[in-house]
Amino acid sequence: MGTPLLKTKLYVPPVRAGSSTGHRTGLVQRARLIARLNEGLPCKLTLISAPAGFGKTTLLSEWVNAGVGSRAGREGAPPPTSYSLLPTPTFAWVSLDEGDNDPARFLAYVIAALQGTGVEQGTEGQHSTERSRQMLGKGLSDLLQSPQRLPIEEILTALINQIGTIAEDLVLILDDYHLIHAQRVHDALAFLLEHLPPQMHVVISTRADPPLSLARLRARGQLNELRQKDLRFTADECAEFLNQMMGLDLSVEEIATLASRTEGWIAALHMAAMSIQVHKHSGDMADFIQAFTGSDRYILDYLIEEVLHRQPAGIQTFLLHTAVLTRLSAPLCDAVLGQDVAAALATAGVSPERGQISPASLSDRGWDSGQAVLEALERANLFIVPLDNKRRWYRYHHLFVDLLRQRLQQGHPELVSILHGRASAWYEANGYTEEAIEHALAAGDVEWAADLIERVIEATVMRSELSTLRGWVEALPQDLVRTRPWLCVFDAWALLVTGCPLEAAQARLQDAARADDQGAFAGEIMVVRALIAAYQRETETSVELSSQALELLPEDSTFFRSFVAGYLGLNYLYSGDAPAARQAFEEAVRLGRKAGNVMNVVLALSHLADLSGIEGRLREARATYERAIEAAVNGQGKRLPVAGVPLCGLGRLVLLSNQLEDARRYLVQGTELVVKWGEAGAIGGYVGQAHLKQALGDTPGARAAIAAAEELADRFDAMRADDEYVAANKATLCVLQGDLDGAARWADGRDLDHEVHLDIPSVAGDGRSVPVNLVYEYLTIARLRVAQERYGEALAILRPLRRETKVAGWMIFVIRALVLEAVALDAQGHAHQALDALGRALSLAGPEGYSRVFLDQGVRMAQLLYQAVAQGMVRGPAADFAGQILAEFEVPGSRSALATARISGDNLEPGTLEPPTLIEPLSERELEVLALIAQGLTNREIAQRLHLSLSTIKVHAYNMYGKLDVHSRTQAVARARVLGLLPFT
Amino acid sequence: MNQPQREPGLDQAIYRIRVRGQLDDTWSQWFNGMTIAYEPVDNSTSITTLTGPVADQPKLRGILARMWDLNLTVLSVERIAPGQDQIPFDVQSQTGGELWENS
Repeated sequence: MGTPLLKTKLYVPPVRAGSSTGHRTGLVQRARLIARLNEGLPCKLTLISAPAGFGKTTLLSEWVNAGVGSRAGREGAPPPTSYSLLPTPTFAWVSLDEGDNDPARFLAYVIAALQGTGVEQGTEGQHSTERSRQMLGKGLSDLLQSPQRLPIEEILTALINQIGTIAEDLVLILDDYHLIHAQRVHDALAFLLEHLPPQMHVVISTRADPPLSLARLRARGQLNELRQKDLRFTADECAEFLNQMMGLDLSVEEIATLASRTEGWIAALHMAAMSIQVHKHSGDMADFIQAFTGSDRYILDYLIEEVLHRQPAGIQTFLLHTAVLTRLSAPLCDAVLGQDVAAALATAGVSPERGQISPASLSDRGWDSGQAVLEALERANLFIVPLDNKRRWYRYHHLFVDLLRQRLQQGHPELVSILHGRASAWYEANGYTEEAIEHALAAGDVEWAADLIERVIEATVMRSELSTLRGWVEALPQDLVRTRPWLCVFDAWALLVTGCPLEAAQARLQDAARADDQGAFAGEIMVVRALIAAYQRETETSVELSSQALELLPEDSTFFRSFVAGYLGLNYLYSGDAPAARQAFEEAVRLGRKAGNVMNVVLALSHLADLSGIEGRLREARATYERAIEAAVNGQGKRLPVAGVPLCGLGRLVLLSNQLEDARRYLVQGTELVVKWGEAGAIGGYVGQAHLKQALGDTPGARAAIAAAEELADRFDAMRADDEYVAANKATLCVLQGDLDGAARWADGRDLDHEVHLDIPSVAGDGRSVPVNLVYEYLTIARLRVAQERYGEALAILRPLRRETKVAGWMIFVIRALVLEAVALDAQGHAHQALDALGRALSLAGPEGYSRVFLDQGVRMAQLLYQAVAQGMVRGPAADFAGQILAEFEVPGSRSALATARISGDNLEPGTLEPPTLIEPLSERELEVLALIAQGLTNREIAQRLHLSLSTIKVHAYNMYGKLDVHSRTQAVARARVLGLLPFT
Repeated sequence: MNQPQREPGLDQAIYRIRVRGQLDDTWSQWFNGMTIAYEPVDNSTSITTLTGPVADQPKLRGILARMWDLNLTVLSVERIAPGQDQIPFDVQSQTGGELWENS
C-alpha cells in the first residue's frame, strides 16, 4: 500500500474574503511587505523568519493569491489587491510537517508542488506552462521508489536541469521550515540553492533561522530577509485592522496602547480584537482595554481565557478535545469527541454575540455535526485554517492549538491519551495507517503502534522512507522492539542502508534472531546478514548466505526474494560463475514478475542479455534487451527510467557489430532515461558513448563521455567495481587515442600483469572462470602491450586468457584475444600464425557480425584481412565476413579508425604503419575506373560514362587488379583505400 | 534509546530560565514540570523564572523552542547546579530532538 501524497500540504491557504462580522475584507493588505517580496525575486532566497502569529503564512498566501488573481484577470471582479505583480511568477507551495524530515518524503512533496499538484487548473494561455510543469520531475518519482540509499543529489540535479528548461519564473515556497531538523533535508535544500536555476526563487518561512549559509547568501546579495520587526503591525496597520477589519471604532489612544501592549504581534491583536468585540457588545469595552493593557500577565493567557470562556461549553470542549489533532475533518472530530461531547454540543445554548459561535451561525445540521462546528469556527474566524477548498480538512492556527493543548493538559491530563487513541482508531479504520501510528505513539499505546508499523513497514521500505521507519522504531520502547522479529529485520536493513554503524545493524539483527524463536523469519534475517557481509566486502560469505536465504524464504516473500536473486546473479557474474548467474537472474525475473516488481524484472532481464552478449549470442542478447525494454513500462504503458539500463546495453551491443547510428540512438536515449533513475546504470551509458565517439573519430567527445562516467562512478563511492570498470575502459580508449602513457599509468596502478602466468582462477572442477571484469582488464593490458610493441608480454597474457574464456563460453572475449594475437604475431613476423588466429577470429565473429573488434585495430588489421583473403587463408563465410569488414572501413564513421591510426601511427604501430606502395603505380585511366567502381557502377555503366568500349574497361580493370594484387571489385576498392588511392567517402 | 528513568534533581543539571512578563503557573507541565515564579520589576513589568531539572541539552532545546513558539522573550538561561555525570561538552551535541510527550 502506497502512501498517497496529502494534497492539503500543497494547497495555498486562501486569503479570507470576508468574515462573519461583515467587513470589506478580512485582511490588512500589506503592500509594503508584498513589494519587498517582489523586489526579492531576483535573489535566490527569501527568508521570512519570525515567531508564530506574525502573519507569515497569511502574507505569503496573500502574495500568491494576488499573483494568481492578477494573472487570471477575471472580468467584472475588482482587482484583488491595489498592487500588481510584474512579472507574475508561478508559485509552488509546500506546508511542511514533521514527516518531511524524511528526505524521500520532502523531495516527493517538493516535486509534486513544482508540478503544480496543489494548484487549481490554470486559465487559457497557461496551458503550455502547465504542461511543462507537469513534465517536471518526470521519472523522478520512480527514483524515490528505490529501496536503496536515496540518491538525493542525482534527483535534485535532474530536477534542476528540468526546471532550467521552463521559461516561466518559478517560486518554491516552503512554509513552516522550522519543523525540519534532519540534516539531510537541510543539505538537500542547500544543494538546491547552490545550483538554483536563474528563473527560480525559494521562499522559506520559519520560526527559527535555518542552518543554511545565510551569511554567504547575504554577502552575495542573494538573500531577501523579512524578520519580526518587519512583520509586526505598524501603528497604521493596527488601526486598519482594529477599526476597519474588526469594526471596533477605537480611539487613537486606545489603538496606541493596544499596539504597545501587543508590540504589533498579530496573533495577540487578533485575540484582543475578538475579546473587545464581545465587550463592546456588553458595553464595557473601555474597561476591558484598560485592564488588558494595564496587565503584565502573559498576553495569550489573558486572551485565550477571554476567547474560550465566551464560547458555549460544547464549543469549548470541541476546541480542547480536537486540539490533539494535527488535521481536522468532521468525521475525525466526531470520532475523537465521542458520544458524550456530541450530546453536550446539542444542549448548548448561547447568545449570538460577535466572536462567538452561535446556533444561528450553524447550519440546520445542528450541533451534533462536526462539519457544522468546523464551518462555524471558520466563519467566526476562530483560528482555524482550511486545508482544501472543499471544506473537508482544516487545521488550527499553530499558536492557538498550543494554547488549547496546554489547557487540555492542565485541565484533563487523563483525556490526552484517550483522545489520541480515538484518533488512531479512526485513522486506522479509514486507511491512514501512518497517521494512526503517530496517534498511537502519542497515546502511548505502543503495542498497537507496533502492530500498525509492522503492517506498513515493507511498503515504507520500498518507498525509501527509511528515516520515517527509523523514527517509529526509535519512538517505541526498545524492549518491545526486541520482541518483534519483523520490526527488527527491517530496522536492521534501514540501519545498514542509511549508513549507521555496522554494529548497530548487527545488534538489531541479533535482536531479530533472538525474538524469532520459531524460525519464521530465518530467511529474512539471512538476507540482511548477506547484505552486511557484502558491506564488509566478504563476497563469498555474502553469496553463500544469499543462497541459503533463498532456500529459507517463503514463496510469498517477494521483496526479499527478488532482491536476493538479483544480488546473487551479479555476484556469480563477477565471480565468474556464468551458469549460476544466469539461473539467478532468471529466478529474479520470475519472482519480479510475480511480485509486480517491474524494476527487478527489467534489471534481471538486462543482466541476462549482458550475459548472452558476452557469450557471443548477439541475436539472443538483442532479443532479451528488447524484452527488458518492453517490460519497463508503468501501469499506463509509459516507459520507465529503468528502461535506460537495457537501452544502454543494447547500444553497446550493436556498437560491437558497428551499427553506429543505432548505437548512438540507443545510447543517447538510454543514458537520458537512466540518469533520471540515477542508478549507477548511467555509467554504462557514458562508457558506451565514449566508445561510440571514438569509433566516429571524435576523440574530445570520447574523452568527455568517459570523464562523465568517471565522475559518476566516483560518486557511487560505496562500490569499487564501477570505478574499476570505467578505469579499464578509459585505458582502452587511451590506447586507441595513442595516449600510451595514460594507459601505462593505469596498468602500473592496476598491477595485474607482473605475473606472466596470470593469477587466473582455474576453470577446473568448480566451473568457475575468470571474473568478467578481470578478463576485460587483462585484455586492455594486452592491447596496451601490443601498442607498446611488447608483443611477447601481450601473447603471454592473451593465450591463457583465450583458453580460460573459451572454456567459460565467453566468446566475445575469445574473439578479442584472437584478434590481438593476430596483430602481435604478425608484428613478430609469424605471418602464418597471425593469419591462422585471424581466420579463427573471423569464423567466430562472422555468424553474429562482430566487426567493431576488427575495425578498432585500424590500418594493420585492414592489411591483415586483405592478406588473409588474398592468400586464401580464409575461405567461405569467413572470407565473406572479412570482405564485409573491409567494406566497413569505408563507412564514414569507420574511417576515423584509420585516420586515428595514421595520426597516432608513430606510437601505435611503428615501422609497419606506412601504407605499402605499389610496385607499379596505377595509370590515370585505371584510377578513374577504380573511382567509378568504388561508386558502385557496373563495367557497362563505366564504359558509357568514360565513352569507352566495355572490353577496354575490362582490360583496365584486369591490369589494375594485377597491380593491386586482388581478384574482385570489392577487394580492389578496399585495398585501394588502405593504400590511400581512394578517399574515404 | 530508552534510558533508565533518573530521579529528577538528583543527577540532572538544574536550569533557571528567565522570561519577560508574567506567566501563569499552569504552564509548568508544558515546560517539563519546571517551577514557575514571577516577581515584579516595577509597576508595569515583571519577570517570570522557571526552575527545574533538565535531563540533557536536547531537552533544554525543546523547552526553549516551546518558549519561542509562544513568542516569550527569553532573558537568561543559567545552569545553577551541574548534573553528576556530565558528559564532555562536544560529545553531547546533535543527539536529536525529543518527542513531545503530550503533543
